[in-house]
Amino acid sequence: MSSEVLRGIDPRGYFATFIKEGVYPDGRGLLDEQKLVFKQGECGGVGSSVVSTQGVTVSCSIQASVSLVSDAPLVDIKIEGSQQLSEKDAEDCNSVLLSLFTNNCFVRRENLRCLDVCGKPLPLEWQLHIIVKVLSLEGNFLDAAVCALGAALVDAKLPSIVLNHSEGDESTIEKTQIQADYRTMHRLTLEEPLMCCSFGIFVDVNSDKKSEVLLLSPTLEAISVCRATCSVIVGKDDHMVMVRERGQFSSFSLLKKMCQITAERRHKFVESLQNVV
Amino acid sequence: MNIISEHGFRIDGRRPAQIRNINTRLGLNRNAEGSCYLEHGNTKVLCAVYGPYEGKSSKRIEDKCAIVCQYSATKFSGLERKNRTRGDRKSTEISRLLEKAFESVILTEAFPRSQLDIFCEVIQGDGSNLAACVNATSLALADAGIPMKGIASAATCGVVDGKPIVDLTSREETDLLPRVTLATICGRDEVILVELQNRLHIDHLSTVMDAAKATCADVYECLAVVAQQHLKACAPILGN
Repeated sequence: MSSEVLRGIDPRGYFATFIKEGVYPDGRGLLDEQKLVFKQGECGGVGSSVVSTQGVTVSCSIQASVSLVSDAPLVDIKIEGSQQLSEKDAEDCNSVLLSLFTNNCFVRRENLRCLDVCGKPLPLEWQLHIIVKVLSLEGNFLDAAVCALGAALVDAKLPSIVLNHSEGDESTIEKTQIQADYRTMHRLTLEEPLMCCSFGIFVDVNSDKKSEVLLLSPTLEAISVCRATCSVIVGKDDHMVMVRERGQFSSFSLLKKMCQITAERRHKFVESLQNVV
Repeated sequence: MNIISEHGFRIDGRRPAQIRNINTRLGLNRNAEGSCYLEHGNTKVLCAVYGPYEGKSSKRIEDKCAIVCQYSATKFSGLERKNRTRGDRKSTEISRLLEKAFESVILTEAFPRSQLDIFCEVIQGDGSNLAACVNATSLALADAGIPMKGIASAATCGVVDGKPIVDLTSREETDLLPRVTLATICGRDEVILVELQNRLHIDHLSTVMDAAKATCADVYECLAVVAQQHLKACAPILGN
């Protein structure tokens, strides 16, 4: 029987054969990291990035507009639809990314204040409109989206604002009184670059032990045979920021291992981001 | 104000590892297949389960049952009276978490091409709302007679100065306190839901997970008693 036939009729058995040997069908080790490639400033807007990792390529571009100071949310994220990414999954990811902003993980609200040429804060705020596009998807979308967002925010440069409205003037600020000065640019103060890693937990039901095997960044095909999947987001000082789990697993030590792998990967990402800047 | 006093008690007089009282009533909603009203301290949740039925074609899955959850909170459930809209971001997120958790508990393969609707409404929120919803849903599913791998139980735990505290109230759910909501099947090691709020250091993970696991086992004991009592009460109706 050829391996392709086995892959079609018994995908679980097919993967179990490889996983037993500690490798994916493509020869990669189960906990081997895949390269993370990113490029900044190529997709327009005030900041942008393209990130390719673990079989997923996404682009992220940030558009900015000025608004009066209010309690309204300052960041909106749009994940552009793709045939590979279902609407429900896109909604889920959108909600996760927005909650990272709400929890001040990327940029603090106070750091979105518009600044004048001298760097003095004005009674205006930047509103960020973030567009994430899926270019290819053969793994977990969230991993690449979190890195792309971080890289785009590091790349973001906002112009100084010239406000022709005196401080004592109580009348409302008119649109014509606001002008952007592109000669002096300000960088966004990024709170912390985050790293997201997705894992699969595979259980070979035909084996006697039925032990749980951890898979780092499984492909979509591997995810479909996993008992559980888990996405972990880690921030600065090895603090876990978010955990998203789907399915059922029993070994608590796996969760700690997932966090450690993500934290290690984050250190490498931060180093490369600093080298670029 | 300190969350744990110098004598080792919390604001409401509990010990760090002590859960709040759990009161339940099953089968309140006659129109639903299964329903449950659950009080977890001052957190009050109403849950109703409809189905399985032949659902919308857009949601239909060929080989298993589609689980659709809807979480909502009443205007008067929190400290501030809010004009909440159904389907706001927070509610949608909790609905998705519930859906994912119960997809792993319910034997969905038993009802192919069908749909099961779960409605959870927080009437009064006093912390651990997600955990209370999981517990109420488990009992409502048991009341509906939906085949499951076991009764799911959940608990929210936090860490204060490196020490775990369990079953948090809304006063304890501050912005800085890291907290984890964990749900397991039958109080065993089978995790179906992990939700983290605020930053938690990796070193504290095992502490909080162990405390949450033990609390889930305690909550399961309570839920199992309720389910057994309800089954006994139903025995004459079922003719056993």
